[in-house]
Amino acid sequence: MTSRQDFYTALVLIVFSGAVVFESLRMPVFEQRGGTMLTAPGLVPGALGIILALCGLILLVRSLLARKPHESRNLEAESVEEGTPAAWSRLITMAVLSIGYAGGLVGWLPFWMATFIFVSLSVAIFEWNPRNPPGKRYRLLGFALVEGLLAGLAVSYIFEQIFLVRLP
Amino acid sequence: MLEGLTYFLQAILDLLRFEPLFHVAWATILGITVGMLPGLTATLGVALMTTLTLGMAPEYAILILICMYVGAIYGGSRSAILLNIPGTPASAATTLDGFPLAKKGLAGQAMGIATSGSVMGTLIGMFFLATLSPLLAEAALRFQSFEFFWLAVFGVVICGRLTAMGDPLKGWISGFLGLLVAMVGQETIYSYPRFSYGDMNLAGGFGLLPVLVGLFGFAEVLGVMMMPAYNAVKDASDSIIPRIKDVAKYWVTIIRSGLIGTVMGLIPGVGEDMGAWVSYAAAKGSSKHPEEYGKGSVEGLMAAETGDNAVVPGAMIPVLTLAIPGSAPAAVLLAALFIHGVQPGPLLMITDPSFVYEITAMIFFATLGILVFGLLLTKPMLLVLRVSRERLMPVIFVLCTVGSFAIASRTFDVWVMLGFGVLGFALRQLKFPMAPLILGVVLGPILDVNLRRGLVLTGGDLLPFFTRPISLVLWVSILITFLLGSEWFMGLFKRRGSAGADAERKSS
Repeated sequence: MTSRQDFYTALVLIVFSGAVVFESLRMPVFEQRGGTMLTAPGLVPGALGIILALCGLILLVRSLLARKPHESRNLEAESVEEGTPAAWSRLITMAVLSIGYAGGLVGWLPFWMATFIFVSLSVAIFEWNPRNPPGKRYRLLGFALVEGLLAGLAVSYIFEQIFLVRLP
Repeated sequence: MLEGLTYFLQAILDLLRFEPLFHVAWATILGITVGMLPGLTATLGVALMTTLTLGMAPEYAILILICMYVGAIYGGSRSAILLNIPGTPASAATTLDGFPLAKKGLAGQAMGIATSGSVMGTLIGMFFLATLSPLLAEAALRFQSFEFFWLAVFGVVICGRLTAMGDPLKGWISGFLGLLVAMVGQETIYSYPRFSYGDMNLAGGFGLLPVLVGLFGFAEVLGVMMMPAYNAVKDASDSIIPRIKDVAKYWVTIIRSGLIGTVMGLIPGVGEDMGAWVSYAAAKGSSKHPEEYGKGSVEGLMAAETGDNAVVPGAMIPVLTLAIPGSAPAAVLLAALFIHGVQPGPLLMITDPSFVYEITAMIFFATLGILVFGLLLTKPMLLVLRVSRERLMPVIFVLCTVGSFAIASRTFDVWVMLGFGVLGFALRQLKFPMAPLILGVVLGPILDVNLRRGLVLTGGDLLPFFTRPISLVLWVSILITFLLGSEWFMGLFKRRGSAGADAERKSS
């Protein structure tokens, strides 16, 4: 599984690096200002593109040669456990809500209102359980609305009034 | 030396007033809270706090950021001990012995040991920050473009090697991607907007803070939402006050771990988690009771916590003397220093000789903060861990959005945060480490301008890049790091070794 992921990652990396090298070669050399290939703006990105393409090639060959999944230990960020459908559903929901908030609501509505809607909706969706009795569900909705309102007002007040920071 | 001590004492006296002490108190408590919560890292905490403190006086803003940094690295040990989940990556090694101690009903003792280890580690690192920085800054005055170029390459290569121990190739890819990210926008020699395609926002380049908030904030929010929910907090009813005999008994471990942590901090981008792991491994290797490690060893816990906290002052040494970060949170601090008009680098000791000691004094107060609040506020702080991720993560994301926007008031930065969040999440799933990527973004401009400037100086001759003494040491170190991380190269020795062993077996 991991070697297959590495295989596709390597392909993406090689294509991306190729594009970087191509774009770097298109950058001007500024000869009229005494520039040469060695001072050209494209020198470093082009070199980085070549190095990344080589790394991608090694990753590709390694993934093809791998007989069993390659074990890699990443101490900084331990891998999230293999996604169950519920985990993927939570992930996609969070991603859609977040991008909708930061990329849509913010700037379109006043900040506190956008935050109120986003936080309330997120808490309500993630904590909603249709098997709960109606009273508990209403309490949850009430809690979500209160948390959203508090978050919207508190973040706006603290950033704008206390720390004098501009909000979107 | 005496001059340094005078500066340090003066800085201590300057901070002994109500306003700085108030900032130390709230920023350290907030830092510990951020560190405790899984999904909130020290890097994100410092990045968000940089935004909050934009309008403050530089000395207070920097003090708050340092308290947040020290507090968050220490705070990670709480969730490591009580939940078996490291609050920050720095506390991953702490889970190995901290959680088994908590399971034995010794959660209070474990937190006490973690506190004493963290305090001792920070104090050791602080000593080296005050004594090594002037020496390193003096040596760095001899650095020219050639040396700075190799230093940037060295940082990315060594960071890629050490933060992805099982797979250096992915660490290096991550680092080179970071360097490439830094290439977007106007370069410094001809002001040519690279990879911008006429877009004014792209011509300005990707801001470090939005990139960081995306990689360590949004990516983490997505990752936490995908994880199974963490269990309820254990009760810590035994005494948290550390026993003097625990500290005195392990003084060798404390000093060794403090030294290792400081060295790990000095190496560009490597960071607190490696400080903890290497200290833990060294302590286990030299322990009289290695069999107790992983089952609730006090010595193991002490080593891990001393090691990761010693990295904090250690990581500030290259920040102040070379303008190169020793860890990811230190990269944010470096950016914050520039924002507040401080110019770190070799000249800092000449232009503002007291600054290093002011930073040392700030770390000292932050250390006192974690000692006092870490021990006194144990019970109220445990309540924080009872907040479910479903209620916490949306609020964190709101802070990420504000944090990425507020630095330059650009909506573009919010999109940068979102983009790098998704990229960071994908890269983590594919087991690419984040630290080299961040270091690459910081070091990219240094590498670019110094390579091209060096080539102009030599008229295109590459030889000085390889023959100047410091450059020689650096590129040989890079080569060795590459070779040691190369499966093919190491395979040669393994094959030769096993072939030799086979031959010996046959002959016998």
